[in-house]
Amino acid sequence: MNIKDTTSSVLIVGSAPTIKKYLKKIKQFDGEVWALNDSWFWLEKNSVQVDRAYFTDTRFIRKALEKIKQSKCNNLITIDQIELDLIRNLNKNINVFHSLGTIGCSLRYGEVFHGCSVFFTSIQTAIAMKYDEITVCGVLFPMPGQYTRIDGTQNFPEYVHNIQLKTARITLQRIREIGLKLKVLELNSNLNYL
Amino acid sequence: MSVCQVNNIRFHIDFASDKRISGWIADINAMQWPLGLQIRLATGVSFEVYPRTITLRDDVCRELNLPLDLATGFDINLLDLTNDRCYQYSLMLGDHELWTYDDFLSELDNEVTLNLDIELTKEFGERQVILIYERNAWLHRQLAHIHRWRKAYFHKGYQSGISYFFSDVTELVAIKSKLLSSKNRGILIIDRSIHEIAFSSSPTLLSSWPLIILDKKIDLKRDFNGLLSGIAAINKMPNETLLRTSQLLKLLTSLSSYGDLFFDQKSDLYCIHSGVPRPWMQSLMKEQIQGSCHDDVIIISEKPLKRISEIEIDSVAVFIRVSATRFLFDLIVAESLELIKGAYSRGLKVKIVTREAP
Repeated sequence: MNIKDTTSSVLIVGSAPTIKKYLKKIKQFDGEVWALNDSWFWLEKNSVQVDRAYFTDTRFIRKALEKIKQSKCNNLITIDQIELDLIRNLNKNINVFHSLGTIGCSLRYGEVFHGCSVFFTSIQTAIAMKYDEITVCGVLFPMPGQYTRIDGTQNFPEYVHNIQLKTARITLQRIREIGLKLKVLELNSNLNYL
Repeated sequence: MSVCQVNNIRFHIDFASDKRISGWIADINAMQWPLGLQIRLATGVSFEVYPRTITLRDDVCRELNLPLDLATGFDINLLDLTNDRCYQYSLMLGDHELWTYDDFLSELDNEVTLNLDIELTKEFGERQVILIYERNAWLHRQLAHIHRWRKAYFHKGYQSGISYFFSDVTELVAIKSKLLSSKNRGILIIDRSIHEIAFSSSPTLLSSWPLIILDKKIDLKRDFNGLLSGIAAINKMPNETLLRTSQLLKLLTSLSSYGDLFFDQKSDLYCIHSGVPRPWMQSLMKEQIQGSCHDDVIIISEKPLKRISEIEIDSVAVFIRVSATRFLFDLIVAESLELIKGAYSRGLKVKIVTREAP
């Protein structure tokens, strides 16, 4: 089966507040737009059509269940480690990917290492779907105390920064090996320095 | 904490923190799980205790003459349930408040007369915390109090795989060779009043393991390597505060809650702290990482720098080695200059990399 999409570029939009600066670029982007967690609702509020929405956190679902129900995006991706009962009866097309573990990078569609961030589920899917160019915006992996989200929260309940960076390094290594083009819009994203 | 009675309800809270609560509860008349059990937050939001969080506790059933297959135990991850740390919450049965967790109310009294013969936790493992106390002194009394409250409080299973070993200063000699031969360095916590005695008996151990010196009163001015400042920052503790039992408990359990922060020392990754990054900095940073750099803080600067005071925030980017974050945790939100000064004063390696002239 050829799972490659007709568009060869994908833009992954994370939930860091820096995405506000790139709204124009996001609107002009020629390719698919994938949203991670809260950026999904921010994009829709700003009239950007979200092609795929990713979430891999039960807490996010609990918080945003009503917004998920009302969203125009019907193509949702999550992993099998979350509480699926919460979304089982949603009238949406939900793909539940198999989580292989924490740190790593899977090249097979439908199987991911979650890396304690929804970003890794999306980028491993983009790699598996053989996109030629992946653009990332709003994914910073900042240090714990500097953490903020587009919805205004600054919660830092757990220390997962280390796991995120380790997973990011492995993922970037795979991207370089394969020869994919990765563009990170923010210079202060830690994805630039791994 | 002891077993409480509310009419025909029997329950016990085995462990409670702002992140997790576990224990058991049973309706001994109806011989069943009490229906309508809820966790209510200070905000008024309630969460029903899900059936999936209920577990079997045959020890409880045997004691209360209940059927052995009756599920009476519960273990609730409050973080997952509420997406936040819960500093105040209650266990509710209908409108009846069975028990309340409150940071202010759950303060334990240090001054009660205790039987200090209680056995304190002594576990060894990969992620090790060694706490050295003086017998009968304040630290010993507080630890005994916590252990009396719940003997398994510092058990590895409760504390995310962190092994706690509470030792009298006289026992230190017996365990030091085991600790020194271990591949991983843990964290050593020691009562200030016995620091000198401990140092003279085990100088190598005290010099090579990251050390926290505890006083009855937290005084961050005496915190040499920044570990205690980081823990205080995590718990939002003031710089000078009397270390009561509940604060000691918080301080110690922070090491488990942030296990990867305090114990993962193998990471050679760097992350950006502050400054204004430029595109050319990427290649310079890659060179540093590929050259197996061992510096804790890297300052990438456009212009050559002779002293810290010459740093212009707009023309530098400051990076921290992830494994050094534990020594600088309280300074993560600080300005570049403050972080750099902190790194120097805490004995960390700081490197300045300058862009080569075009």
